[in-house]
Amino acid sequence: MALSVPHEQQPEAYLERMRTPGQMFVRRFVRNRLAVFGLVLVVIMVAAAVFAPHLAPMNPYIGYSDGTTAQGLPLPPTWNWHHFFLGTDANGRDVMSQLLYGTQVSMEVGVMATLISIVIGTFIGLVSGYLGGFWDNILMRLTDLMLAFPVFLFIILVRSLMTNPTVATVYLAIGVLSWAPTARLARGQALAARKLDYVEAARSVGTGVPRTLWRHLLPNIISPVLVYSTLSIASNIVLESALSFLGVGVPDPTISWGKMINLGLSWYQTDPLLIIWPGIAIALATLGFNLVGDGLNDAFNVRSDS
Amino acid sequence: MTIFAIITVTYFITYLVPQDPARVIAGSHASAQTIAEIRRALGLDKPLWQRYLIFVGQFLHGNLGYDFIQQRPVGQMVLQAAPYTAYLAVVAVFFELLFAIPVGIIAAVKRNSFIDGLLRTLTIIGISMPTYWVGSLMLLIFGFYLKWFPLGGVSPLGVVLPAVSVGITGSAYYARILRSSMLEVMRLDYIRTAHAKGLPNWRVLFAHTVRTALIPVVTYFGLDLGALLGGLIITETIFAWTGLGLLLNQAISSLDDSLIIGITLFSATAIVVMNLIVDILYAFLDPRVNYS
Repeated sequence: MALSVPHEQQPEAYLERMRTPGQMFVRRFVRNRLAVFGLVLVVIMVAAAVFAPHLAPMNPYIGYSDGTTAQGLPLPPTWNWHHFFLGTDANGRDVMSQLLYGTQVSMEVGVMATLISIVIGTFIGLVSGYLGGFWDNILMRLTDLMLAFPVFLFIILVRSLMTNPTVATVYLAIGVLSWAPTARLARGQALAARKLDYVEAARSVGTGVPRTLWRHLLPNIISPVLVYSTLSIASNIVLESALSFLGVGVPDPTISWGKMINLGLSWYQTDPLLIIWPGIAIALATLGFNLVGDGLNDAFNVRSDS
Repeated sequence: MTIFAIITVTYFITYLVPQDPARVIAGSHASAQTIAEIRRALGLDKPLWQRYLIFVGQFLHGNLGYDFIQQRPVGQMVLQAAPYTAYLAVVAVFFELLFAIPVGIIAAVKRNSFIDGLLRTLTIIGISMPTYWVGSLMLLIFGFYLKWFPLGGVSPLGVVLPAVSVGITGSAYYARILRSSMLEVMRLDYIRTAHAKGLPNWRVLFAHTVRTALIPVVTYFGLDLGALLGGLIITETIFAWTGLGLLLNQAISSLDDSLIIGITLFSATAIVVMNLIVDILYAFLDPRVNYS
């Protein structure tokens, strides 16, 4: 009995040593209050996107006949969940329901565009960094070229020339045009990792290049890529809303926060709330992903800032 | 090289569009013969590679084509709008640095303190807000309610709100980069030497630390030009600032493809040239950089 020490009295360092790296990572992340707050925001946003059809109190696509004043102006918030909770827009549509449906496009475009750019970028970066020499030269030239491309303009160009755009057009365009930073990042990591003994060992027992890349290099470089992906989802959400704001984002009738702000801007003198609600939604969604990305970064890099 | 790639990509993107410009010009009721004549007049009957070479040649001569919707040369419209965008860009960058440099320095000097945490949270919030939303709020609060600034249009006072909107959202990144580069420089030996020889703290900070720490900020400036332009385009739309952004917005809403292409080509080229200038500037700032 003399040997059993109550948990609270055990020294901190001893506890740290008892944990697996994964547990230590989770612990560092959870201790970061801002990161946890960000994670909560992300979970809420994803849940809102998934359950939007069940959560939305009204049909966001329908302009209700009692949704505008007699003069045809938008209604102010009624604070009645089932009847124009946050008021209506100029077309008599329920703002709260539109906000909920807006999460769907934001999450879809944010995540899919990031996924595409990360897969392309990581592949190019890994191959470039691991093979080196000729291939590295060619691939990095291409990457530098893509970095210098004004992505925003080219997405506008591609999107405005499309005859039948869909939501997929938007995230494909963003993803295919914005892989360059990831490629840079992955290449740097691969360059450092390929000199490590265990990679050398894998090669010496005759592991092929694809397997070495997939099984040995990729897991080793994945954490900075993961941090970058999370931050990239945030910036892609903003990008999608900006494109939709300009009228070259997701096609009608898909609801997007950017479109809501664009529409609301014509009414800002009488109904400023119409631009405030969707803006808050965008800011919260991006803030969530940014905070999580920041928290992941701190949790991965034990030494940073301390 | 990059400019060449941009021209090529732009050309082939437009080629992929199934729309026939001759048909657009002739109208839907034109006879097949009229369309064929217009095609010949526009040079559309030549093979692809010839048209591509003509396109590149025209671009190198500064000719961005003719806009059949507005009945004016595209180059003329773009050149008319570009100085306004450049003006707004300069003021916006001024505000970016005005916000970012003090924040970055204070956060680094007071690192891991309450102030650092507060500034860090503020910069994350700044990064998370869309530029055009900040612009809309500025318009609403300072333009409409307080009436301090005009609601839009080009005027000496009118530049403030759009430039501040772009500045606030853009400065967050700069502040974070400056903070981390300050922390790195502050660890170096020569800073310790400067302290050891008895220089006052403020002198070490401004004459030694900040100067060196600004180098990554300049690098980032080059990478950020595309994003800056994106922010300007969308902010101009809100404040009716008659630059490239407003022009682009009009082109989008009137489905004016030749104008969209012209603006894209022009801006892309401008960014590449600016990048080159930043690179050269970089060599002056950092003696270690050598391009030979």
